[in-house]
Amino acid sequence: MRRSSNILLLTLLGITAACDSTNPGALPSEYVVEAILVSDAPLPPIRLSRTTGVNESYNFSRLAVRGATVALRLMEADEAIEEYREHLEQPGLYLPVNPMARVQPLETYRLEVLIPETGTTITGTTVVPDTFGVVNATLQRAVYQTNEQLEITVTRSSVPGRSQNYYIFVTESLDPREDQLTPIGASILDAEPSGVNTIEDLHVRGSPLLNENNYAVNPDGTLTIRYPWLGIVFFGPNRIGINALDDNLYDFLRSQSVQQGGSTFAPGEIPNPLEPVRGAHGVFGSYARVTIELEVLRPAGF
Amino acid sequence: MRRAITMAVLLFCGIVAAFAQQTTSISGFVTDASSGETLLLANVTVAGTTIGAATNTAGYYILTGLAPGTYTIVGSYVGFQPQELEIILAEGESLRLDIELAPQDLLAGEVVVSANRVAEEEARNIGVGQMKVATIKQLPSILEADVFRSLQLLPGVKAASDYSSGLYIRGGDPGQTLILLDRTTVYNPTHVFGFFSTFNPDAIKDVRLYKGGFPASYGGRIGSVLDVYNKDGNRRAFEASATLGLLASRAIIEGPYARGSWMLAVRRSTLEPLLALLKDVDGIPDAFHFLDINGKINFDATPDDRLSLSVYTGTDALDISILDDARLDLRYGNRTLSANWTHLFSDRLFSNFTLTTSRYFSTPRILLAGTTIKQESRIYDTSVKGDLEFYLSERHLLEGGFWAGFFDFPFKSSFDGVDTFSPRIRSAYTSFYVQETYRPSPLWMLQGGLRATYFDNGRHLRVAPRLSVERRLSDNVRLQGSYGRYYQFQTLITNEAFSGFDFWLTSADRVNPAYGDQYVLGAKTILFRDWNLDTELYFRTMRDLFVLDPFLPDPAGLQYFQYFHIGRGSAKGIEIQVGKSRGRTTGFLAYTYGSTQRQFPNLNLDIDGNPRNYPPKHDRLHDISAVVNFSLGKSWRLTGVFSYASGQAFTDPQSQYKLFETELLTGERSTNVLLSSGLNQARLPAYHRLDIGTAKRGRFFGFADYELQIQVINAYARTNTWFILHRFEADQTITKNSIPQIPIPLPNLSLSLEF
Repeated sequence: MRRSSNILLLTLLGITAACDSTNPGALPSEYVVEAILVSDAPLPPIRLSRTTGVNESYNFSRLAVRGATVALRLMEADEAIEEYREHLEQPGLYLPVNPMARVQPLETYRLEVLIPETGTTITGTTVVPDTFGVVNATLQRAVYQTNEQLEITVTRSSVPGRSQNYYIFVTESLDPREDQLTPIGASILDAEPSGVNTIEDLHVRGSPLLNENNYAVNPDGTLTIRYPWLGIVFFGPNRIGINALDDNLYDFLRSQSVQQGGSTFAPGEIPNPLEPVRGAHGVFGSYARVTIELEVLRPAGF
Repeated sequence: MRRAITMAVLLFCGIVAAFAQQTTSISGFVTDASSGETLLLANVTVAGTTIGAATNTAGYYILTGLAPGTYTIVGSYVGFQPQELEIILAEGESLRLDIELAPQDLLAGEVVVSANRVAEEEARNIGVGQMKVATIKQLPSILEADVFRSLQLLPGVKAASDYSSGLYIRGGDPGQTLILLDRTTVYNPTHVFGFFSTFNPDAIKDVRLYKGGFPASYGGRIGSVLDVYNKDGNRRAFEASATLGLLASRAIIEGPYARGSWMLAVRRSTLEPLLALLKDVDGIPDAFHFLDINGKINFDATPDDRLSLSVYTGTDALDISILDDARLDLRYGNRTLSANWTHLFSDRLFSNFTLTTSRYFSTPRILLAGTTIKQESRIYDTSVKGDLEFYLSERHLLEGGFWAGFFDFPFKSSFDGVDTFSPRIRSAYTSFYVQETYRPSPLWMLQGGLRATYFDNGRHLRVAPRLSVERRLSDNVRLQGSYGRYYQFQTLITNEAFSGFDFWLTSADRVNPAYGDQYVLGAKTILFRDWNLDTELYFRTMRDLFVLDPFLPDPAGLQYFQYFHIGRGSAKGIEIQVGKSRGRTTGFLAYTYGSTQRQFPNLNLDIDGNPRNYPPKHDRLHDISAVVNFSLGKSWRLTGVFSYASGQAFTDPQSQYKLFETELLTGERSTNVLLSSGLNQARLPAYHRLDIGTAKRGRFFGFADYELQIQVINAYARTNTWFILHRFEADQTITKNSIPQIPIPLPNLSLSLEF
């Protein structure tokens, strides 16, 4: 009986000792690509770099990848190619050979990168959202936190095969000074864990990802967006951008934004982002953008 | 549906009629002589025989298979003096024998114990975890005695952190445990956003945890069941007690009336003076309180009919300034009502019918720079349930029942005065079960059952088999095994760090209910007098887990099925518990080896983009807990709890990169990205903590009995890591901040007065 018990105990210990399935592993330095197209805007620069360890200071120049062959292939336009060449003074930065070339709405672009040093091929595909426009903005000047809020009516962007758009609203202060901060702006600047250290960190602020169905669709198919006061962190002139994202940016940003908490992840659970490129980390995506300007006036007592 | 239920009851009664005329029997209720409170899982045995029974959840027992003659019936229950009753049983007689047991001062020494411990064995049945309410009130606790935190000491039950009372049982998430209070579902059993559970230990009579492998009489969750019963109230005399604590104070009054008893218990946080003192400290709420009210009234209509009405209401209310020009106002809580009718159709047919209604609400409101963000999550769940136990013979127990009801889950969120998302889930549900317990000999017990559930939303019909077997090797050794299929039609959307925003979603069209199989093997032994050694091995699967897609930033405009990502998981483990339940020194030593895995789309992808298994954060391999309760004479008691756990899983990013062309896209000057070789592939440092306490009892100025408790949590100031926070610095480095669990010795003081 005692012998049986000992065998059972040893078996149990053996089972328990052998069963930790976690494996911290190690990540080698890998390529990173950043290519973000804006619909009907000039072709953007494309950045190539490498990842670095979390315990190391990040320095893009040190991590830049040089000597790569970079191109964008237009899949819908007889596979025409927009070629890139490396910036002579900024390693890792690749600029379009034709600076006049513009991103074509609704076009499918394929990113093609070849890194001769290792023979690595990096690819990705994006369908550029259609351009859209501002039909009406109810205000050019508004007193902060009054009931009279800015309402922006826009036409709707579109991406083939998708039922609604995904937006990010970005507010850029055109006169970012500390004495122009709204109370919430000053609080964010003061708050220790916010990661916002300077006015420069704060002068452009973005919203979370928002679905188009949050907003009223007018009978003529346009969309009316009431702009919330919480988007404003500086009094004075502000430029408000409405960005309609492609699927790649939507996937990347919705996964990257929860790396530091939020959602249903437990504290300390950090998922890798969804990266719509092959052969590298990073993102290749596109968005369409419209902007308007709004002068935010300081109310009495502020 | 009403017709179906009626037919089922009639069918059951028909079987009863067919079997009713059998041998003699003895049956009745076992109660506490001092209060009249029914005792659940009390022993009733026939001296000199192996015949015995345990009382059920209503305190009812039945002994069958006795030939006419003279017998000594022994009633016993831990903490009570055994009662011996001589009876004479005539041919064909069905004797009603209600037994009253007088409480015994455990400090007075060893009690006489019947050799036949049916109830204690039942309490140690496969998958069952037991924690006496008295133990819960004695254990050192973080500011306030707490049911869930006490249960977390049991093998197979884990805590996610010092800040969470959530029950992670056998690899399952808190949403996989069905929480019942007086047979009514409680949807968010937490206070202080997860720090405590809602159950006021003063108001509770019994806590029964089915960690897994639970029988067909329970359903609706794929993991486990926690069945909590309120006190009935003292049927003998008026009684009152009050407890002053650091976090909360509580009071209970109870007493008899002509046809029954009543009980009213109130618990409220008492943090206002502390909040006033700290009002200028960042992060301290401007106002916070929680309140619990438990009430119950019993009406003993006839010796065979007992009715009760039980209510619970609990609320947390928080008002806090987050930043200048930013406030959070949050109310959340539960309301439950259950009307219960216990009826004896005959001495062999016990029945219980309950009408329940449960309401949950969470209404956070954030006012941020002139913009109002509101969310209203509510649950209304009204149901009727019935359970029948038919004691066919000494070898056969047939059980059956139903549970039918209607959910209404309205949810509404609004942003800046505009409703943005307002789904409303409504569904009827019905389940039936039948279960047979067969004891072909004193050495064998077989239990088989089937539970069928229909969930109207999505029209899901599921049938779940359950089976368990017990083989007694000797008086002191029992081997047990069980298998069960379990279905779950609801999913809890929560975050380990904060339960105040919790809400539930359900299966529906294109969202199948989750299901899982559980396999459990157990060996229950009595080592020697009063010492038990229990071992269980389990393996369970989790399929079609439907949880809110954690990458879903905004559900507006999506179809319902698109809210979810569907995954699967598994868990396995070994639990060993050595316990001593009587004497001056009581307690237990528990060891758990456990491992659990999940797999969901878009998470922990391999190089080809396929999802791989990963451990959830609460996964850890080894847990040890030691609980000791030592009586130093009649007045003093010492308690100690030591917990050790090997490191929890967490994600340790190994590399990083940044994007620089995103400022006009996202508003961030650079987008920082962390990369790891896999989700939760690293382990935090091991966790350990010692809690100690002492209690002094006596008379309080001659008008009340008092108990003064002094306790210290984390006595040797161990700094356990909760998680690692990565902060991107302006100089382009990353700082890793270890966020601690309770890092300092935390005193707790309470004074209880009993009148």
